[in-house]
Order: sequence, then C-alpha cells, then structure tokens
Amino acid sequence: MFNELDPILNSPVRLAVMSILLTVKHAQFNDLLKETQTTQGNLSHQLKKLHEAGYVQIQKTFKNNYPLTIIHISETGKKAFEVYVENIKTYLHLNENNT
Amino acid sequence: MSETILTPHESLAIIQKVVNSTRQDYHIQRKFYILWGILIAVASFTQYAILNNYISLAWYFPWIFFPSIGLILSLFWGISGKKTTLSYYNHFVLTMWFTLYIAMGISLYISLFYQNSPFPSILVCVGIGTSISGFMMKNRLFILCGILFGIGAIYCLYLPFQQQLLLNGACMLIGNVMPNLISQHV
Repeated sequence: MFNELDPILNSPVRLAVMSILLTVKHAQFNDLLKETQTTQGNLSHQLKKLHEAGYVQIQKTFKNNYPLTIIHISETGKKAFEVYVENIKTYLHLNENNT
Repeated sequence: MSETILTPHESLAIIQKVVNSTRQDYHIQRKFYILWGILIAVASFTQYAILNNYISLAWYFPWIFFPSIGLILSLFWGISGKKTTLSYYNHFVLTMWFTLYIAMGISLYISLFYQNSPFPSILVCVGIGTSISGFMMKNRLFILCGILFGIGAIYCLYLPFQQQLLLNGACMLIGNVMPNLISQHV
C-alpha cells in the first residue's frame, strides 16, 4: 500500500522552501525569494501554511530600520520531510533499487 | 486558490534541483579574512622595518596596534552586520576559524615562552583553515593556497627570524588576501 503524500509538502514552492531549509541553519526571506523564484506574496502565503503546520519557525525582527524575516525548519518539519521523501521513494520503488 | 499537486517524480525533481542549486556560500564575510590577512602582513612587514631600524618603534608595537584595529573593526562589523542566511557550510567554517584563531593564540604564547619563532605554527594553522575551506567549497585556488602555507611553514624553519617576517607577510597576502579578493568578485 502507498501512503498518501503530505498535502502540506506536496506543493512546488513549499517543497522547495523545505528543501532549502534543510540545507541551511536558517534562511532569510529574501534568499528564499531568490531561490524559489516566486513572488513575495506567494512566498509569504506558503510560509504561513508551513508555519501553521508547525514545519517552520518564523522570526520577524528589524535591522537598521528594515524588516528582517528569518526562517528555521522545526523538528516536526524535518520529520515530515523525511517521511515525505520515504513515501516518494516507495512510490518510485527507489528503496528496492538501492538495497 | 488552486494549488499544483505534485507527482512523486516532480517532487523528487524539485528536491534534487533545489538541493543542487542552493548556494552553500551565502554571504561569506570575506572582508574579515581580507582584513586579518592584510593586518597580519602589515604587522610582519612593520616588525621587519623596526628590526632593521627603518622605523624607531618598540618591536612589539605592530603586534599590539594592528590586531587592536582588527578587533575593533571585526566587533563593529559583527554588531552592525545584517543577520543573513547561514548555511551549514558557513557555520562549520566560522567555527573552524574560531578554533584555529584560539590555536594560533596558544601557539603564539608557547613560542614566546620558549623564545621560538611563532610563524611556522601560525602558517600551519592558517594553511589548515584555508585548505579545509577550499575542500568544502571545492575551490582549487584555496586548496593550493593552503598548500602554499604548508610549504611556507617548512621553509620558515630554514630562514633567520627577520626573513621569516617577510615570508609570513607574503604568505598572508598571496595565500589569504588574494584568494578571498578573487572569490569576492567572482
């Protein structure tokens, strides 16, 4: 039986954001914007969804009078991503090929 | 708002693309490395000038004056700098250099205690840091510069102290300042 893929992660921008956050200790909003090549509004919307699911932590501060948003992946987010990747591997029969 | 639902193939493609393309050298603060490279080089050349009576200052003056400038500027830049994306690579490199600076400080103290030249051990420390940075960034220039520091450290053993100062200064400029300047503009 195939497990259903996590609907929160199964969207292009959210999956890209989570993939980036796994490779960095924390990311700045503008860097995520550059890497995902989406609009500011869409990225904010997708981050809100990830935040509501508890997958990311968002820290909003000011530096030199400019707003600064720092995003971290949470432990819940890391686990969800691992499960998501395992499920993809199962769908694509990658586990059997590697063992 | 309708959302694109990904197939497992598309998901895997996105993850692979993002992980491969995400820059791991986000906002490396090369100015710190350039600053310290220049300051150590200038301190070495100044001490050489003092020992050869080109300048009349106490021999220890350059090793107090120039590092003090470095500390003040580093603290100022560190406090006023923007908090940016920190990759695991950058986090590792910062921790490694912090540890190496402590090692350099200890080896300097040991050298002064035994009245030996500190330059071979300092060059080894900087060489290790530069090589590891090069291997992490897959940057051949940094790897070669790390090797250059190693050769410089061995060559230092065969030179009188005053020439070691010149060699140390030259190694800092060629092996530390130059690759960071080049990489900053690439």
